[in-house]
Amino acid sequence: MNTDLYEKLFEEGCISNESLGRIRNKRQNPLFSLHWELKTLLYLGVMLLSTGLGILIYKNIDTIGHQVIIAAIAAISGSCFFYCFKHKKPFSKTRVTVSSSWFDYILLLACLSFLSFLGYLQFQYTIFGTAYGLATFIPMIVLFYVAYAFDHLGILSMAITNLGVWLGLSISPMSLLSTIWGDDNLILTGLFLGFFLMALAFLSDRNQFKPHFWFTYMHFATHLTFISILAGYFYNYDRPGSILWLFITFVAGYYAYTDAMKHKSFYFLMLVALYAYISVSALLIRVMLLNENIASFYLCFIYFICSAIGMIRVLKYLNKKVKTS
Amino acid sequence: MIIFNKDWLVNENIQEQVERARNLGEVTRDEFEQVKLRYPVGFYTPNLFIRIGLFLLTLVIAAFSGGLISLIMMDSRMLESPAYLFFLGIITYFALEFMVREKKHFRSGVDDALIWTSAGLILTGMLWSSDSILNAYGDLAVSGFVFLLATYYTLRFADVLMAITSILALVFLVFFGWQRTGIYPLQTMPFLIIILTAVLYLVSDRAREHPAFVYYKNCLQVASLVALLVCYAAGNYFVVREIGTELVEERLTPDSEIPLAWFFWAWTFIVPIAYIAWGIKRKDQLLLRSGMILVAVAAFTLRNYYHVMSAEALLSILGAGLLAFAYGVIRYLNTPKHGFTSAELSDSSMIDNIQIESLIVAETMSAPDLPDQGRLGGGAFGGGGASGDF
Repeated sequence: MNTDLYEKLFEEGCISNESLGRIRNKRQNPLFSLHWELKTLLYLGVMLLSTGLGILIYKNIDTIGHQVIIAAIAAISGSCFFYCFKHKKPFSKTRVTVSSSWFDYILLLACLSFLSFLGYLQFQYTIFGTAYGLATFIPMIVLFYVAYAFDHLGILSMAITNLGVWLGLSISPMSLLSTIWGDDNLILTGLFLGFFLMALAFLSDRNQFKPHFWFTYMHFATHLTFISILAGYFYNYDRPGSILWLFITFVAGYYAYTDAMKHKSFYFLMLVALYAYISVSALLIRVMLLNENIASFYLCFIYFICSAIGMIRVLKYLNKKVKTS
Repeated sequence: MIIFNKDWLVNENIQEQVERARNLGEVTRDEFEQVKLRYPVGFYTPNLFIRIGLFLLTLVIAAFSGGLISLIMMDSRMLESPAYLFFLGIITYFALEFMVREKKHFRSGVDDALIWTSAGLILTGMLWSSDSILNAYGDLAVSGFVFLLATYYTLRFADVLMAITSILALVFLVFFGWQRTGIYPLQTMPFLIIILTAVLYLVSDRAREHPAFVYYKNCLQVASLVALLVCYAAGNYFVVREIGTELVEERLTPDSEIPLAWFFWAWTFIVPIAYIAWGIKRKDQLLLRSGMILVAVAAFTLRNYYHVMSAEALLSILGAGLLAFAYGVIRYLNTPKHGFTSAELSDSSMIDNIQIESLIVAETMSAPDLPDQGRLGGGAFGGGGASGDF
């Protein structure tokens, strides 16, 4: 790497002599970081190992090697947890940074193999009896505890997903819509879980108790709430009260908007803007198509063109506002 | 040729480098601001999320505008001719030129959406209107059209995805061309593609640091990546065998062997390792990462033909092996050696602190589901799990 650019910048007075020296020094002995490569290897390792073991147990049920595999999984989980607790940093209400990504992934492996182990025990011996709620409730508690104790965002996401499973919802972001569609109870559950997660996000932030968990909570909360609302509206389209669903959008949307502005988050701004746009459009199109003739068709097309241009302006405006505030 | 203001592109490149230096702690914040003042960039380039939003909205506008025009012209016979698509494509293209030239959009989502819409419409129009050529030359004509169009867009808008499309279309063009005209096309094809992509890689790799091509830096980078991957694929045992079978239109029995099998097996395994070794030697991230991906591809190729053990046992052993290997490297590089370190150098986090890693974990990892059970109205469980039903 050459330092021509910086020499030039120095001559033009943009950077100080000190900085130039620092850059020259570094370019002479460049350091190449393998951080992301190693992280990817760790991620793949944990994923392959836990998947492989998870399948191995069920394939070999009723054979002799079976007990060995179970013992191995218990041993992996136990020793990983032991390692993590031994090297655990003291609990703090704010962010705790771990020294290496190795630690993070060992903790992840510990949790995943623990879940496999519990799942197996329930399958084979029904240790939680037929109270299925308990069988998902206990892993969830453990995951939340680990997430807070070790300050691990990945495990927090898993815990939130597990909370959904306990309530009968699959809230892994991609499969949400297909699960709740067509079931009023599930839609309502999704909506309330969304509100609940929003509340958790709000509390983490306000009490400064793990404030960086705000993002993860809010991420699940936003998608869950808005998708539930839209599913609720479209599923009940022909019932008289269906429009009420859309009014919830505005309440939730307003809160999410102020929250995003407060945290200067482009991600949530974009989400709120797009979800709100879909809701408003759904409502207006319905009004426009009340009498079905060709003119109202034209009107819809024109509406979409103009409103999308308007939304582009809104997004650009919001972008500017967040940047300057 | 390029539509953007060239000074701004150069300035953008400078800002980018200094920003990287700032993230590494080499220059201070004030110095970075100084550089920004001295080398201004006038483009409208919002951050990634706004870009996605603008992209989607522009697609909505394009789709409904096209729909509206079609509604108005529904009674004329225009709609049935390919010229109509062409016409829509040209309108979109002018909109694109206008947004970029007058409104200074640069990677804003608006230009991305218009690039793809106009290219798609023009291509469809072209193909539709040239039925007779298509019948005679088929694949060759399609890849030729795509290549010309994508190359034009790449040169004009320096778009990364268009650059990828262009390179791939070129490979297909050579492939189909050689298939029709070459001498022993079947036997020589892998070698021809290997040589072609190797040359492409070397050229674009050289060019990417060259000041003359500073506007196309990103395009050249992805071009060299695509060339590396295709170069490997062209000699991969699986690819050669399957495509060869397609070309001669006869089924190989599992026992029969392709000619020069030893060479392709060697290529399958040696090339990924060579990429990694070369990447480490040159400290080149692109080579290193492609090598890592290709090792996995090589493993899958082997497994496709030789079933040494069950898939799940293989997964477990591989997983454990990877963990052990990563641990070894982390320990070894605890203090940086030979200019390598396992620590993260730059303190720049992703924009918005969006925690990609944790979301990937949530999406791809969860414990095996328990057998079906009902709760709260009896919805079926999805779990989004790694396993399946047992």
